[in-house]
Amino acid sequence: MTVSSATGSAPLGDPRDELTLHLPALRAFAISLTRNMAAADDLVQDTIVKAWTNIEKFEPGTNLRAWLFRILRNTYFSNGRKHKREVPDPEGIHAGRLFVKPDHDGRLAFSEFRTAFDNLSAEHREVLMLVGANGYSYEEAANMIGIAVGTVKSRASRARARLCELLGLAEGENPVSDTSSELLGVTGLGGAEAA
Amino acid sequence: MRSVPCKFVGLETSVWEAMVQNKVAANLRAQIDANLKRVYDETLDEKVPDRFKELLEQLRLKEAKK
Repeated sequence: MTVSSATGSAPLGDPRDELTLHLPALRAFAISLTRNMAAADDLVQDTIVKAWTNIEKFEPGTNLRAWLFRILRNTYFSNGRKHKREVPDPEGIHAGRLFVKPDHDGRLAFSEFRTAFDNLSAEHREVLMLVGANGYSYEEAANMIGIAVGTVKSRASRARARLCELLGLAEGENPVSDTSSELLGVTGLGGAEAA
Repeated sequence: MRSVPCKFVGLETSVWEAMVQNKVAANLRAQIDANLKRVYDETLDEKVPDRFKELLEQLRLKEAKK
């Protein structure tokens, strides 16, 4: 990392030098929004250019990735871009995996999970990627999306419920049979004595 | 009388049913999150196309000319 000589004492260096580090995360987020590789890469490209030319708006010391995610999602959701891009890859980004029916033991099948995820609305995919996959807090996600914390919470909750619905899981049903029985055993509810 | 583990003795049925519900919901949620992370991580591991390195290089050159 090079320290910008123009700013002299800048302890953090030029954040633009760190953009490369965030490319894989930006692509992963973009793919989850667009579900289309070409559209995702165009979105990342636009994000990089916007970040580069607006770098003075970034507050040093704050989370650069969160800032980049915000630019990316705003770019995606603005100008009807999302509607234009709302076509998943014909072959499917994860085509190879989609047709593999796992020999499962009741465990949530990943290929089915992926298909269900891809069928969520863009808003639901977004909130689940930020909160569920990246582990951002509701506050951080609210800041990135530009909505109230409470809205993030309810949106995330609805997104999870919708995912369960698409997966054919009844509300509260546990997709992992062994853990489920273990859990019910612990509490005494799994026994035959229940009426 | 149901065979109930000691720690639940004395709790109303509805209370520990709610506790079970909560546990099951928390477990489902954890599993959904693990799968979401996997969806994200799989694309995270893909090689970043060269076009992005080239783009950053172009931006840097443009900046240097200013």
